[in-house]
Amino acid sequence: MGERKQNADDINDIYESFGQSQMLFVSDVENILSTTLEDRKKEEPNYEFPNVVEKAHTYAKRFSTFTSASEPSYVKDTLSKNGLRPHEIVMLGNLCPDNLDEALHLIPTLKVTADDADSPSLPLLTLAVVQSCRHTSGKTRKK
Amino acid sequence: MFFLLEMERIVTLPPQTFGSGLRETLHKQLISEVEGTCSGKHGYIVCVTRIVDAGKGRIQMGTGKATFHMKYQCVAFRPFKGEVIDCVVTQINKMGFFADAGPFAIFVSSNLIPGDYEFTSGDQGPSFVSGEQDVSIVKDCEVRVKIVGTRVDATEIFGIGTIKEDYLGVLAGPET
Repeated sequence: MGERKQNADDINDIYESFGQSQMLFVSDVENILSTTLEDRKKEEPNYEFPNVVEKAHTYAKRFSTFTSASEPSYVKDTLSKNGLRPHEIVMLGNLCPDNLDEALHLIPTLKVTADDADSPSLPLLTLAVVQSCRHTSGKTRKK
Repeated sequence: MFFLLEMERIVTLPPQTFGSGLRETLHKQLISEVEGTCSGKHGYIVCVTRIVDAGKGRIQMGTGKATFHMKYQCVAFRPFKGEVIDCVVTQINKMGFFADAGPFAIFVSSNLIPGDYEFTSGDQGPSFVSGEQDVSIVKDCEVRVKIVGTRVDATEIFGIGTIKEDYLGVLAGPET
């Protein structure tokens, strides 16, 4: 019998299943779903969406972090050029940590990426993007 | 986490649908077969965004139905162990609380809630209240949870989460 893979659903193995797929911010999902569902409603006003679709759309509207359409692309482009991996960029954009310490706690692989990049400016750059996300989203955690 | 995937599926249409509206029927059939489904590999298929290639129909011998090997793009949601995710509390009891991140349901056991939170059942309904920080977990509030495990059933994915680590916990109160 072959060896069963442990932790096949671990975040560190994300690229084994989804390495070729684009990872989306919640804001991206909100834009996509709003547009798609609106078009479908125009074609068929009485169309009933499956429960999964309704729940995903409601969630995306509630937790969307970017207010303008250009911000997600800017954040992805800036951070990917500086060596951050797709899942790190998406989690930064979705969670909008208040500071670098929080970012490193919520996304542990960020520290590894920063160390590997051997760039002293990477943590500062990440923090700058994080701060712009925080300003955009307006969400802060209750302490 | 949400993904934009490109997937393939064979869709079968009966002969009565052959005609000028075939492509639209094919699109609707794909959507009805795929949207809302769940698998262990790709998670929940939330929405078909576009048809990449509808393929050329092949008539099945005997039935007269046509099969189309379709390629399509879709939004999928797949949770991962170790992922931190924001969610909305849906149900609270003394064993812990349930929360939803879209279609994904997470249970946070009272063992994985910080010790300063106490379960109370008052006029406003059940809640976990932190005496030290005057923060409470109530229905419809937003919490930041770390996923510690997932289980995939035939039609859904269920998760176990924790808020017993730094930078996790209540984000905001219920929506007004």
